[in-house]
Amino acid sequence: MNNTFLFMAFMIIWIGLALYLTLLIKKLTSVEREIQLLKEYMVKPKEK
Amino acid sequence: MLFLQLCVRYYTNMSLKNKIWVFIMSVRFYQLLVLLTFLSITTALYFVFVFAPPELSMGEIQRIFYFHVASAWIAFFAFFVVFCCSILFLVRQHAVFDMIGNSAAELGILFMTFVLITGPLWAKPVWNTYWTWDARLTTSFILWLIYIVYLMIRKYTETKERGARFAAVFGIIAFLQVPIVYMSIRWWRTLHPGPVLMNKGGGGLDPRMQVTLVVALVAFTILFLTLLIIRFRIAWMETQLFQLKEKIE
Repeated sequence: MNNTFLFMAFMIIWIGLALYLTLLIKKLTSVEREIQLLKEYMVKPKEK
Repeated sequence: MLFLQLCVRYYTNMSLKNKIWVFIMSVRFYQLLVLLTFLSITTALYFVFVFAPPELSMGEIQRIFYFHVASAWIAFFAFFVVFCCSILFLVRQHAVFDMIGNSAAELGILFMTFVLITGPLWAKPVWNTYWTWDARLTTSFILWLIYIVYLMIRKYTETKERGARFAAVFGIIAFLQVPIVYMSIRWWRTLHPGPVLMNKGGGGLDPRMQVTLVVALVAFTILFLTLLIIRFRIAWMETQLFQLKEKIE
């Protein structure tokens, strides 16, 4: 019983951290992509 | 080759402040941080599950202590960062302090959530209840709620600048709750165990347990710094994105 609680606490921390890190990476890539697209959009009209 | 020479010349002409900035934003720095975090967390896990002896009366469940205390330490440290950045933001009016403060508050809430989850999981087999409204538990829960309000202030204010200012003022006042949580086990009679490290005459902790706790604290601090830098980078890029959008409009 004691070990179950220890396992639960351990798993909750690591799953929580993994979820948070996934959200951060997802956000980082989406912002990076948006910046890239906007920069391309800003360059294109000048080329024309 | 010419490009490389130009890069080197550009780098050597930069001031120290800019050099640090470029290094922090580089991919190599992130790789280094992630590697350091991975190594420190692996070491901490070895110490917690292999090196540290089981506690005499509680047994294996006491190992939650290392995660619980380390998470609490990081939450307090994160709220201290929010406090410092709030003061700096109000004094110097620089958006960087606001970004760091916001990132630290978010991480502080995350680690405080871990404290509020691991605590009841430890309490159930030891106290025979998940939760009791005693001083330490109640003040910790209030601390968690206060910093959720901090994030909400930012979210629900009309303009970004006003939100940052309100949040900075709130961040300074909110920090008053941290010493209350820390001192609650000394000021009131609680079910929560007393201090084990900063206690006169020692907290009765086995030397191997003390070493394990210190290793866990260091590992969690490195983890916190890594997450803080990644979160700060996102905030920084969001500002850049906002400026780009304004330029186009």
